[in-house]
Amino acid sequence: MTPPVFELPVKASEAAALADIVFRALESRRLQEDVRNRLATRAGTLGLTSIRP
Amino acid sequence: MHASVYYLAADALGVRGDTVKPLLLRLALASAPASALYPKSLLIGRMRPDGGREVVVNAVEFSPGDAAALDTYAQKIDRTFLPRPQANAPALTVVSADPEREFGPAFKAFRALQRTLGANVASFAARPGLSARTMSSAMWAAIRAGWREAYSVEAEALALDQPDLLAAARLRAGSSRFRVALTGVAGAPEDAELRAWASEEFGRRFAVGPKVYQFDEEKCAALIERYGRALGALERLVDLLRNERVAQGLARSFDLEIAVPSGDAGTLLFCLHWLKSRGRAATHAAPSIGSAEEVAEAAAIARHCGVTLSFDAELLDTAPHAQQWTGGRWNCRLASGGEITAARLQAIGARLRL
Repeated sequence: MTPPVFELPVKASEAAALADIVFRALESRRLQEDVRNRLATRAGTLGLTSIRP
Repeated sequence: MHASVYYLAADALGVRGDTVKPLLLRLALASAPASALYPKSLLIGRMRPDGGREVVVNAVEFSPGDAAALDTYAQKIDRTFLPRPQANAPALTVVSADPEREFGPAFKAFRALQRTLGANVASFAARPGLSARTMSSAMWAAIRAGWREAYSVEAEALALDQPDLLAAARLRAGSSRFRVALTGVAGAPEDAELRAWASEEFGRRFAVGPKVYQFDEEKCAALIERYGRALGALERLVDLLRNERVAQGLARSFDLEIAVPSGDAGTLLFCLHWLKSRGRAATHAAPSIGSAEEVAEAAAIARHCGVTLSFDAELLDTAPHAQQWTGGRWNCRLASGGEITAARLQAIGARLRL
């Protein structure tokens, strides 16, 4: 019998990439609308296949 | 939130990219304190992207049906996403039979209308039986749209004669607007003092613009007999809602809309003045108006009493210049006519701008 495979809803590597750009962008600034917009643009360039921010 | 914790609402597409599941991702530095806000969250991983700092990513299911997760987010993480009273601002109220699907596009339309109208008109109302779904869907759509400005949510209409009125009001206390129909309860107030107050209060003249309203003894008695007990019941309901909202950690203030089953301007004035004099002023009024004459009179009363006039979008066919006759205090309800799309909302918005 094949045991069921536990599948994460998103790829951990992609979640890590997202976290990375968030923490880099917010290292020394407050989270405001312009930063949110910039983050959305950056996230779009990551080529994510399992997460749509 | 803690400076090393951020939340991101996103769609999970599955590792094969073949499913769509709304999630809330919690991105935290490993050094951040643990959180008990979402005890059942799923750990996606502890990782060191590019060999840098260690991050921990968790995921929580975050669809319109995940009411508890949405409440936690709006109540404890970012309260700007809670609905707020509209007060005297104009509103275009979406009354949807399919809030999960229609509210996302609605926020896009509200964003566009904000640019063309120069006003935030975001507002939603629940159909009968859909209060909880409407509230969750509105918060969900606001969070996903990043809508941090005000928007209002109206609970499904309360009837003063419904047997579970107090329980229903408690359940819906988180809404920012309550619509109450002055129907189902008739008769003069049982309290003799209240009856005497009303007879005296409405025995005088009311000047509304160029028009004067004078309730003679017979008319005054008839209005007290028809609406007195209902208005008394509404006063008690308002007090209950205020207390319940405070108990639930919400702001005490909310919008109160009265649906008056009459197009008679004197009746509208009577009801609005009663509530204001008794310290429970309505912020919105929805009289049963249809003709251009009724619209003009009701609008004058609403302006005089400082309330927002609430009407169905179909009324714009009879009285197209709402911005003018309401003095900018309008709540246009889009309830019928099929699917609610961004294009429909923008078309109505364009008519309201005239």
